[in-house]
Amino acid sequence: MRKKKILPVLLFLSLISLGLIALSILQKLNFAENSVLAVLTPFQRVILSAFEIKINEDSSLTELKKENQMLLKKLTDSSLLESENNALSDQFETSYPSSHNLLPAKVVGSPGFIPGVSEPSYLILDRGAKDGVNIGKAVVSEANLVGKVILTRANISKVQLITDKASSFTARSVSYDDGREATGIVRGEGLSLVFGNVLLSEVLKPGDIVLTKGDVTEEGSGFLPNLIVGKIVSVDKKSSDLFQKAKLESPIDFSQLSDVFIIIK
Amino acid sequence: MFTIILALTILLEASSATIPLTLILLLIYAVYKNDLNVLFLGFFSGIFLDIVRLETVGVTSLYFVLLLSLVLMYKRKFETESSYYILIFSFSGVLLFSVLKGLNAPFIYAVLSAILAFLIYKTFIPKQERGGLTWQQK
Repeated sequence: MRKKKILPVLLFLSLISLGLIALSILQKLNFAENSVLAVLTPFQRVILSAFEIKINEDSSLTELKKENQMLLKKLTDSSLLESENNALSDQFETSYPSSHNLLPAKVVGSPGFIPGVSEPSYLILDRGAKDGVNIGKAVVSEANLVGKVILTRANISKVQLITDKASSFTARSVSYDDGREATGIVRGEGLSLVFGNVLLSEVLKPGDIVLTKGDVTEEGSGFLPNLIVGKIVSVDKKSSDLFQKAKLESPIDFSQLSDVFIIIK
Repeated sequence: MFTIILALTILLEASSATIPLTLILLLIYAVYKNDLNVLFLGFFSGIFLDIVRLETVGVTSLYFVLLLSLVLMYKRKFETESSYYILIFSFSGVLLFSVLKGLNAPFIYAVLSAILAFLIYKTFIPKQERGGLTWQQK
Protein backbone atom coordinates (compact mmCIF):
# COMPACT_ATOMS: atom_id res chain seq x y z
CA MET A 1 0.00 0.00 0.00
CA ARG A 2 1.28 3.43 -0.87
CA LYS A 3 2.54 5.67 1.87
CA LYS A 4 0.50 8.54 0.36
CA LYS A 5 -2.72 6.85 1.45
CA ILE A 6 -1.51 5.75 4.88
CA LEU A 7 0.20 8.91 6.11
CA PRO A 8 -2.88 11.19 6.27
CA VAL A 9 -4.88 8.54 8.16
CA LEU A 10 -1.93 7.85 10.46
CA LEU A 11 -1.53 11.56 11.18
CA PHE A 12 -5.26 12.03 11.77
CA LEU A 13 -5.63 9.06 14.17
CA SER A 14 -2.39 9.91 15.98
CA LEU A 15 -3.56 13.46 16.61
CA ILE A 16 -6.90 12.21 17.95
CA SER A 17 -5.08 9.73 20.19
CA LEU A 18 -2.83 12.48 21.54
CA GLY A 19 -5.90 14.62 22.18
CA LEU A 20 -7.56 11.76 24.04
CA ILE A 21 -4.42 11.21 26.13
CA ALA A 22 -4.48 14.88 27.13
CA LEU A 23 -8.21 14.78 27.96
CA SER A 24 -7.79 11.54 29.89
CA ILE A 25 -4.94 12.95 31.98
CA LEU A 26 -7.09 16.01 32.72
CA GLN A 27 -9.93 13.61 33.69
CA LYS A 28 -12.31 15.12 31.14
CA LEU A 29 -13.33 11.72 29.78
CA ASN A 30 -14.70 10.27 33.01
CA PHE A 31 -18.33 10.39 31.89
CA ALA A 32 -17.62 8.59 28.60
CA GLU A 33 -15.41 6.04 30.36
CA ASN A 34 -18.04 5.35 33.03
CA SER A 35 -20.72 4.84 30.36
CA VAL A 36 -18.58 2.33 28.46
CA LEU A 37 -17.61 0.55 31.69
CA ALA A 38 -21.23 0.28 32.80
CA VAL A 39 -21.97 -1.66 29.61
CA LEU A 40 -18.84 -3.80 29.53
CA THR A 41 -18.37 -4.75 33.20
CA PRO A 42 -21.06 -7.51 33.22
CA PHE A 43 -19.42 -9.09 30.15
CA GLN A 44 -16.03 -8.94 31.88
CA ARG A 45 -17.47 -10.81 34.85
CA VAL A 46 -18.93 -13.52 32.57
CA ILE A 47 -15.63 -14.01 30.76
CA LEU A 48 -13.68 -14.09 34.02
CA SER A 49 -16.00 -16.69 35.53
CA ALA A 50 -15.34 -18.91 32.51
CA PHE A 51 -11.67 -19.00 33.50
CA GLU A 52 -12.24 -19.65 37.19
CA ILE A 53 -10.65 -23.05 37.10
CA LYS A 54 -11.45 -25.18 40.10
CA ILE A 55 -8.43 -27.35 40.65
CA ASN A 56 -9.41 -30.79 41.90
CA GLU A 57 -7.14 -30.95 44.88
CA ASP A 58 -7.08 -33.76 47.35
CA SER A 59 -9.85 -32.93 49.86
CA SER A 60 -7.48 -33.41 52.82
CA LEU A 61 -5.04 -30.93 51.25
CA THR A 62 -7.82 -28.38 50.81
CA GLU A 63 -8.86 -28.86 54.43
CA LEU A 64 -5.26 -28.45 55.59
CA LYS A 65 -4.93 -25.23 53.60
CA LYS A 66 -8.11 -23.85 55.16
CA GLU A 67 -6.95 -24.91 58.61
CA ASN A 68 -3.59 -23.26 58.00
CA GLN A 69 -5.26 -19.96 57.07
CA MET A 70 -7.54 -20.18 60.09
CA LEU A 71 -4.61 -20.85 62.43
CA LEU A 72 -2.67 -17.97 60.94
CA LYS A 73 -5.60 -15.67 61.62
CA LYS A 74 -5.97 -17.00 65.17
CA LEU A 75 -2.28 -16.39 65.85
CA THR A 76 -2.58 -12.81 64.67
CA ASP A 77 -5.73 -12.25 66.65
CA SER A 78 -4.11 -13.59 69.81
CA SER A 79 -1.13 -11.31 69.29
CA LEU A 80 -3.47 -8.36 69.02
CA LEU A 81 -5.27 -9.42 72.16
CA GLU A 82 -2.02 -9.56 74.10
CA SER A 83 -1.08 -6.05 73.10
CA GLU A 84 -4.47 -4.62 73.96
CA ASN A 85 -6.26 -4.33 77.21
CA ASN A 86 -7.46 -7.88 77.90
CA ALA A 87 -10.55 -6.87 79.80
CA LEU A 88 -11.66 -4.46 77.08
CA SER A 89 -11.08 -7.02 74.35
CA ASP A 90 -13.06 -9.67 76.23
CA GLN A 91 -15.92 -7.30 76.74
CA PHE A 92 -16.34 -6.32 73.11
CA GLU A 93 -14.95 -9.48 71.50
CA THR A 94 -13.39 -7.50 68.72
CA SER A 95 -12.63 -9.12 65.43
CA TYR A 96 -10.16 -7.53 63.03
CA PRO A 97 -10.68 -5.72 60.72
CA SER A 98 -14.12 -4.72 61.88
CA SER A 99 -16.87 -5.79 59.49
CA HIS A 100 -18.42 -2.30 59.79
CA ASN A 101 -15.47 -0.90 57.85
CA LEU A 102 -15.51 -3.47 55.09
CA LEU A 103 -17.13 -3.07 51.70
CA PRO A 104 -17.60 -6.37 49.84
CA ALA A 105 -16.52 -6.33 46.20
CA LYS A 106 -16.47 -8.80 43.35
CA VAL A 107 -13.45 -9.27 41.11
CA VAL A 108 -14.52 -8.52 37.53
CA GLY A 109 -11.06 -8.55 36.00
CA SER A 110 -7.78 -10.22 36.91
CA PRO A 111 -5.61 -10.43 33.80
CA GLY A 112 -2.75 -12.90 34.07
CA PHE A 113 -0.31 -14.66 31.77
CA ILE A 114 -2.46 -17.79 31.59
CA PRO A 115 -6.10 -16.88 32.40
CA GLY A 116 -7.30 -18.42 35.67
CA VAL A 117 -4.00 -20.15 36.38
CA SER A 118 -1.12 -17.67 36.66
CA GLU A 119 -0.97 -14.83 39.14
CA PRO A 120 -2.85 -11.75 37.89
CA SER A 121 -1.06 -8.44 37.31
CA TYR A 122 -3.83 -6.45 38.99
CA LEU A 123 -7.52 -6.74 39.93
CA ILE A 124 -10.56 -4.84 38.70
CA LEU A 125 -13.37 -4.65 41.28
CA ASP A 126 -17.05 -3.88 40.76
CA ARG A 127 -17.02 -1.06 43.34
CA GLY A 128 -16.03 2.51 42.64
CA ALA A 129 -16.17 6.11 43.73
CA LYS A 130 -19.98 5.95 44.05
CA ASP A 131 -19.55 3.33 46.80
CA GLY A 132 -17.05 5.47 48.68
CA VAL A 133 -13.94 3.80 47.32
CA ASN A 134 -10.96 6.16 47.10
CA ILE A 135 -7.40 5.77 45.88
CA GLY A 136 -5.13 4.22 48.50
CA LYS A 137 -7.77 2.12 50.28
CA ALA A 138 -6.59 -1.31 51.39
CA VAL A 139 -8.14 -4.46 49.93
CA VAL A 140 -8.27 -7.61 52.02
CA SER A 141 -9.51 -11.17 51.91
CA GLU A 142 -10.39 -12.12 55.50
CA ALA A 143 -7.45 -10.67 57.47
CA ASN A 144 -5.02 -11.22 54.58
CA LEU A 145 -3.76 -8.21 52.66
CA VAL A 146 -4.49 -8.30 48.91
CA GLY A 147 -3.40 -4.84 47.76
CA LYS A 148 -4.55 -1.25 47.48
CA VAL A 149 -6.83 0.74 45.21
CA ILE A 150 -4.82 2.76 42.69
CA LEU A 151 -7.57 4.00 40.36
CA THR A 152 -11.29 4.56 40.67
CA ARG A 153 -14.16 5.28 38.32
CA ALA A 154 -17.82 5.66 39.27
CA ASN A 155 -18.60 1.93 39.53
CA ILE A 156 -15.26 0.24 39.20
CA SER A 157 -11.77 0.35 40.69
CA LYS A 158 -8.30 -1.01 39.97
CA VAL A 159 -6.26 -2.75 42.66
CA GLN A 160 -2.48 -2.96 42.76
CA LEU A 161 -1.56 -6.32 44.27
CA ILE A 162 1.06 -6.53 47.00
CA THR A 163 3.12 -8.68 44.62
CA ASP A 164 3.30 -5.82 42.07
CA LYS A 165 6.80 -4.47 41.46
CA ALA A 166 5.63 -0.94 42.33
CA SER A 167 4.20 -2.05 45.68
CA SER A 168 6.14 -1.44 48.90
CA PHE A 169 5.09 -0.78 52.48
CA THR A 170 6.41 -1.07 56.02
CA ALA A 171 5.82 -4.30 57.86
CA ARG A 172 6.94 -6.26 60.90
CA SER A 173 7.71 -9.92 61.36
CA VAL A 174 6.42 -11.72 64.40
CA SER A 175 7.53 -15.02 65.83
CA TYR A 176 4.91 -16.82 67.86
CA ASP A 177 7.54 -19.12 69.41
CA ASP A 178 9.61 -16.56 71.28
CA GLY A 179 7.89 -13.23 70.58
CA ARG A 180 10.69 -11.89 68.36
CA GLU A 181 9.80 -8.90 66.21
CA ALA A 182 11.61 -7.19 63.36
CA THR A 183 10.70 -4.22 61.20
CA GLY A 184 11.33 -3.92 57.48
CA ILE A 185 9.83 -3.14 54.10
CA VAL A 186 7.78 -5.57 52.00
CA ARG A 187 8.29 -5.22 48.25
CA GLY A 188 6.53 -6.95 45.42
CA GLU A 189 8.72 -8.73 42.91
CA GLY A 190 6.17 -9.37 40.20
CA LEU A 191 5.13 -12.82 41.34
CA SER A 192 6.62 -13.05 44.83
CA LEU A 193 7.15 -10.96 47.95
CA VAL A 194 10.35 -9.93 49.70
CA PHE A 195 10.66 -8.64 53.25
CA GLY A 196 13.79 -6.46 53.12
CA ASN A 197 15.61 -3.62 54.86
CA VAL A 198 15.75 -5.67 58.06
CA LEU A 199 18.73 -4.89 60.29
CA LEU A 200 21.33 -7.66 60.57
CA SER A 201 20.99 -7.56 64.34
CA GLU A 202 17.37 -8.75 64.04
CA VAL A 203 16.55 -12.45 63.81
CA LEU A 204 14.33 -13.77 61.03
CA LYS A 205 13.38 -17.41 60.73
CA PRO A 206 11.30 -19.42 58.26
CA GLY A 207 7.78 -19.69 59.63
CA ASP A 208 7.68 -16.17 61.09
CA ILE A 209 4.54 -14.25 60.16
CA VAL A 210 4.81 -10.83 58.50
CA LEU A 211 2.11 -8.25 59.30
CA THR A 212 1.53 -4.68 58.13
CA LYS A 213 2.96 -2.05 60.42
CA GLY A 214 0.25 0.46 59.58
CA ASP A 215 0.65 3.56 57.41
CA VAL A 216 -2.82 5.08 57.27
CA THR A 217 -2.75 8.76 56.25
CA GLU A 218 -5.01 11.61 57.36
CA GLU A 219 -7.20 11.01 54.29
CA GLY A 220 -7.72 7.43 55.39
CA SER A 221 -5.66 5.78 52.69
CA GLY A 222 -2.99 3.18 53.38
CA PHE A 223 -2.81 -0.08 55.27
CA LEU A 224 -4.12 -0.66 58.78
CA PRO A 225 -1.70 -2.38 61.16
CA ASN A 226 -1.68 -6.14 61.72
CA LEU A 227 -3.05 -7.31 58.39
CA ILE A 228 -1.44 -10.60 57.36
CA VAL A 229 1.05 -10.21 54.51
CA GLY A 230 2.57 -13.69 54.50
CA LYS A 231 4.86 -16.23 56.04
CA ILE A 232 8.67 -16.25 55.75
CA VAL A 233 9.84 -19.21 53.67
CA SER A 234 13.57 -18.45 53.37
CA VAL A 235 16.03 -15.94 54.81
CA ASP A 236 18.95 -14.33 52.96
CA LYS A 237 21.41 -12.99 55.54
CA LYS A 238 25.00 -12.06 54.60
CA SER A 239 27.38 -10.41 57.03
CA SER A 240 28.77 -8.24 54.20
CA ASP A 241 25.36 -6.69 53.49
CA LEU A 242 23.80 -3.76 55.32
CA PHE A 243 20.44 -5.47 55.63
CA GLN A 244 19.00 -8.96 55.50
CA LYS A 245 15.93 -10.02 53.54
CA ALA A 246 13.47 -12.86 53.45
CA LYS A 247 11.19 -14.41 50.87
CA LEU A 248 7.51 -14.43 51.78
CA GLU A 249 4.62 -16.64 50.80
CA SER A 250 1.17 -15.07 50.85
CA PRO A 251 -1.66 -17.27 52.15
CA ILE A 252 -3.79 -15.99 49.25
CA ASP A 253 -4.07 -17.61 45.85
CA PHE A 254 -4.48 -14.39 43.85
CA SER A 255 -5.49 -16.23 40.67
CA GLN A 256 -8.55 -17.71 42.40
CA LEU A 257 -9.82 -14.57 44.13
CA SER A 258 -13.43 -13.82 43.29
CA ASP A 259 -14.63 -11.88 46.35
CA VAL A 260 -12.64 -9.36 48.38
CA PHE A 261 -13.28 -6.55 50.85
CA ILE A 262 -12.26 -2.91 50.68
CA ILE A 263 -11.47 -1.21 54.00
CA ILE A 264 -13.33 2.04 53.57
CA LYS A 265 -12.82 3.70 56.98
CA MET B 1 -17.02 -11.94 12.04
CA PHE B 2 -13.58 -10.42 12.55
CA THR B 3 -15.11 -7.54 14.56
CA ILE B 4 -16.86 -10.02 16.88
CA ILE B 5 -13.62 -11.94 17.49
CA LEU B 6 -11.86 -8.63 18.07
CA ALA B 7 -14.50 -7.61 20.65
CA LEU B 8 -14.05 -10.95 22.40
CA THR B 9 -10.27 -10.56 22.58
CA ILE B 10 -10.72 -7.06 24.05
CA LEU B 11 -12.99 -8.47 26.77
CA LEU B 12 -10.61 -11.36 27.33
CA GLU B 13 -7.69 -8.97 27.76
CA ALA B 14 -9.75 -6.81 30.08
CA SER B 15 -10.77 -9.66 32.35
CA SER B 16 -8.34 -12.56 32.16
CA ALA B 17 -5.35 -12.37 29.84
CA THR B 18 -2.29 -10.12 29.76
CA ILE B 19 -0.99 -11.57 26.49
CA PRO B 20 -1.83 -8.92 23.82
CA LEU B 21 -4.29 -11.00 21.79
CA THR B 22 -5.94 -7.94 20.22
CA LEU B 23 -2.62 -6.71 18.87
CA ILE B 24 -1.81 -10.16 17.48
CA LEU B 25 -5.19 -10.35 15.77
CA LEU B 26 -4.84 -6.86 14.28
CA LEU B 27 -1.35 -7.66 12.99
CA ILE B 28 -2.62 -10.80 11.27
CA TYR B 29 -5.51 -8.85 9.75
CA ALA B 30 -3.19 -6.09 8.54
CA VAL B 31 -0.84 -8.52 6.82
CA TYR B 32 -3.64 -10.68 5.41
CA LYS B 33 -5.98 -7.95 4.15
CA ASN B 34 -3.47 -5.14 3.61
CA ASP B 35 -6.44 -2.83 4.20
CA LEU B 36 -6.35 0.76 5.48
CA ASN B 37 -9.42 0.11 7.66
CA VAL B 38 -7.23 -1.87 10.06
CA LEU B 39 -5.89 1.46 11.34
CA PHE B 40 -9.40 2.49 12.42
CA LEU B 41 -9.99 -0.92 13.98
CA GLY B 42 -6.70 -0.58 15.86
CA PHE B 43 -7.60 2.91 16.97
CA PHE B 44 -11.01 1.94 18.40
CA SER B 45 -9.73 -1.33 19.90
CA GLY B 46 -7.01 0.61 21.68
CA ILE B 47 -9.51 3.07 23.12
CA PHE B 48 -11.76 0.27 24.43
CA LEU B 49 -8.77 -1.58 25.89
CA ASP B 50 -7.60 1.51 27.74
CA ILE B 51 -11.08 2.16 29.13
CA VAL B 52 -11.72 -1.37 30.41
CA ARG B 53 -8.23 -1.60 31.93
CA LEU B 54 -8.63 1.82 33.58
CA GLU B 55 -5.53 3.16 31.84
CA THR B 56 -4.87 6.53 30.19
CA VAL B 57 -7.19 6.59 27.17
CA GLY B 58 -5.38 6.97 23.86
CA VAL B 59 -2.00 5.39 24.69
CA THR B 60 -2.81 1.92 23.37
CA SER B 61 -4.66 3.26 20.33
CA LEU B 62 -1.69 5.46 19.44
CA TYR B 63 0.65 2.48 19.71
CA PHE B 64 -1.66 0.25 17.63
CA VAL B 65 -2.05 2.89 14.91
CA LEU B 66 1.71 3.49 14.67
CA LEU B 67 2.58 -0.21 14.56
CA LEU B 68 -0.13 -1.14 12.07
CA SER B 69 0.89 1.77 9.82
CA LEU B 70 4.43 0.41 9.79
CA VAL B 71 3.10 -3.03 8.89
CA LEU B 72 1.09 -1.63 5.98
CA MET B 73 3.85 0.65 4.72
CA TYR B 74 6.68 -1.82 4.73
CA LYS B 75 4.87 -5.04 3.85
CA ARG B 76 5.84 -5.00 0.19
CA LYS B 77 9.39 -3.94 0.88
CA PHE B 78 10.13 -7.23 2.57
CA GLU B 79 10.31 -9.80 -0.16
CA THR B 80 9.47 -12.68 2.07
CA GLU B 81 6.46 -14.84 2.84
CA SER B 82 3.84 -13.06 4.98
CA SER B 83 3.96 -15.61 7.80
CA TYR B 84 7.61 -14.73 8.49
CA TYR B 85 6.73 -11.07 8.25
CA ILE B 86 4.06 -11.68 10.93
CA LEU B 87 6.61 -13.50 13.07
CA ILE B 88 9.01 -10.55 12.97
CA PHE B 89 6.38 -7.86 13.53
CA SER B 90 4.47 -9.66 16.28
CA PHE B 91 7.72 -10.36 18.16
CA SER B 92 9.06 -6.81 17.97
CA GLY B 93 5.62 -5.20 18.36
CA VAL B 94 4.67 -7.20 21.45
CA LEU B 95 8.15 -6.84 22.97
CA LEU B 96 7.96 -3.05 22.81
CA PHE B 97 4.31 -3.07 23.92
CA SER B 98 5.10 -5.27 26.96
CA VAL B 99 8.02 -3.04 27.95
CA LEU B 100 5.85 0.09 27.63
CA LYS B 101 3.08 -1.52 29.70
CA GLY B 102 5.56 -2.68 32.35
CA LEU B 103 4.63 -6.35 32.08
CA ASN B 104 6.73 -9.00 33.77
CA ALA B 105 8.97 -11.01 31.44
CA PRO B 106 8.36 -9.03 28.20
CA PHE B 107 10.66 -11.33 26.22
CA ILE B 108 8.53 -14.37 27.05
CA TYR B 109 5.40 -12.47 26.00
CA ALA B 110 7.06 -11.51 22.72
CA VAL B 111 8.20 -15.06 21.92
CA LEU B 112 4.81 -16.58 22.79
CA SER B 113 2.93 -13.92 20.83
CA ALA B 114 5.12 -14.44 17.77
CA ILE B 115 4.55 -18.21 17.90
CA LEU B 116 0.82 -17.72 18.44
CA ALA B 117 0.50 -15.23 15.57
CA PHE B 118 2.52 -17.50 13.27
CA LEU B 119 0.38 -20.54 14.13
CA ILE B 120 -2.94 -18.66 13.73
CA TYR B 121 -1.82 -17.31 10.36
CA LYS B 122 -0.61 -20.69 9.13
CA THR B 123 -3.73 -22.47 10.41
CA PHE B 124 -6.57 -20.14 9.51
CA ILE B 125 -5.37 -18.30 6.40
CA PRO B 126 -5.52 -20.47 3.27
CA LYS B 127 -2.13 -20.85 1.59
CA GLN B 128 -3.24 -19.33 -1.72
CA GLU B 129 -4.60 -16.26 0.08
CA ARG B 130 -1.44 -15.51 2.03
CA GLY B 131 0.18 -12.34 0.73
CA GLY B 132 3.80 -11.78 -0.15
CA LEU B 133 6.07 -13.78 -2.33
CA THR B 134 6.75 -17.39 -1.53
CA TRP B 135 10.10 -18.97 -2.18
CA GLN B 136 8.60 -20.87 -5.12
CA GLN B 137 7.19 -17.70 -6.67
CA LYS B 138 10.54 -15.99 -6.38
